[in-house]
Amino acid sequence: MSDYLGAPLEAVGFQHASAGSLQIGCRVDCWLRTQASGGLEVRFEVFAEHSTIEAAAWLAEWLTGRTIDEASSVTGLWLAEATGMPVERRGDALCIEDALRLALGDET
Amino acid sequence: MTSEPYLDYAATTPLDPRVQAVMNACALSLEGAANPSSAHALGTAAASQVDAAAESIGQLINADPAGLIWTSGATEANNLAILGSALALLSRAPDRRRILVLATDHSAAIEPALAAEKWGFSAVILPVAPSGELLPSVLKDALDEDVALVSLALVNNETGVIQDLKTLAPMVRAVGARLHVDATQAVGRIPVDVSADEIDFLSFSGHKFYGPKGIGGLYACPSLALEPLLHGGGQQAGRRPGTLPVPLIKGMAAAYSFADDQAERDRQNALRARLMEGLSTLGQVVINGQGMLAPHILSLSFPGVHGAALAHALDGLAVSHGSACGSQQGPSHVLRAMGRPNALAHATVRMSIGRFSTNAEVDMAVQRIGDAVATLRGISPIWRELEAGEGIHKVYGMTTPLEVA
Repeated sequence: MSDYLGAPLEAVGFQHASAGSLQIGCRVDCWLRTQASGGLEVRFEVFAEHSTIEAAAWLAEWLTGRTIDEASSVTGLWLAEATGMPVERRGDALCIEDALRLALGDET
Repeated sequence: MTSEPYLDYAATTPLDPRVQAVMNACALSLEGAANPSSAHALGTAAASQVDAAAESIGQLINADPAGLIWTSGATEANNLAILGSALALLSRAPDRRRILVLATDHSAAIEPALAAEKWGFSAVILPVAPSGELLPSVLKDALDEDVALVSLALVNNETGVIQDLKTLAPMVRAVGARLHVDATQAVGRIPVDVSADEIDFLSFSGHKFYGPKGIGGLYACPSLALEPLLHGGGQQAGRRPGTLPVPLIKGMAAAYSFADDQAERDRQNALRARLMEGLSTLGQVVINGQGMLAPHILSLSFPGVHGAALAHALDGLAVSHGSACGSQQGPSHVLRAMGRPNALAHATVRMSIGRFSTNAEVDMAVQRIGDAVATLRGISPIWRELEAGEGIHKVYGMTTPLEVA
């Protein structure tokens, strides 16, 4: 399993936001903080189908070291296409986007 | 050939080599190849083998062999019992128009009951307790003189819950309704006694107890009317026409003669306990099914884990995620009927063991399932909340009592 998944061992300094729910079958939590270098450190917790887990892991790795502006440009559609998520899972991609945006909102 | 353990005996069992030997010898002989309906000597010899198989199975279920009807399997047997009874009662008992089935029964029993509605019957789905048991009080409230038939599975195929026939059957008898028992997961596994439990109809299937696929049976009390569902050909007194497959029938009877005895049940109970013990170390594991349980089935739900992700992680492992027959149809209707919410029902693994299961297979399965659950829980926000002390009931928004290991 990806090193970018799961809650941080030490949550100090991280912004944390949730999107989705257990009842809809997709819940994504984003943990995000700005490193001393200025780049982002991002982790996701995921309760969802495996392609959603893989997409979240890919995005967390992609975001690491990038700027808030770059992270703000991420959309669910872009993520779904970039990771080849099945069409029926595109709603999950929006869930990842929502969690990211909420965490970014707190960070900024 | 896979080296993965096989823990899906409730879906189907491998053919016992002893059964295969019996079938091969039969199929290669002219007596086995002949049509039992033929009047010549070989046909008569084939018919004798069918009669001997009926005699053997009749003894094992303690039923009149004259009541045995060979079918293609339990699905057909259930349909024949339920729809054949409904058709027979259309003119004979116009006041009996309700058919009762358990909410946890196999779709091969529920769907025929619903299908009978086109003839004016009303299918009543009886709720079960969170344990999976049909409570006598629930049956009592539903029973009346207008009930034509009560159908229930003796052993549930997903949870292994055994219904208490000793208590329930006399209640059905008291209102004059017919009793159909779907014994697909019981025959060959636990003792079944048609006479002692006053069962009118009993369904079973050869491939569930190490026999061949494509053959099953329905015991139908010879004194009760039953309309055929198939027409053409007068075999089996017209109750189920079609040329009889002698090697399959003989194979099924042989398989039943090797039925699990108490020692084998004890061994499987020990394997089941080993599975349970190994997986309960994960913590917060929900056990589906309480009360009397069959030795070969264990159903566990893993809170905090997404069902589809778990199924993906266990790809290649021969277990079921709900009913094998209904694996493409959403969350298990059995677990839903037991009060499990969709998300928990999805995150369920049914493990079923059998004659050829070993400690090593069980240990491999515990390792595979344990690793998958621990990994998925490790990245799950739902599990984090459960670990932090939020209860399963709160997180899953449910009130049903659960047995948690």
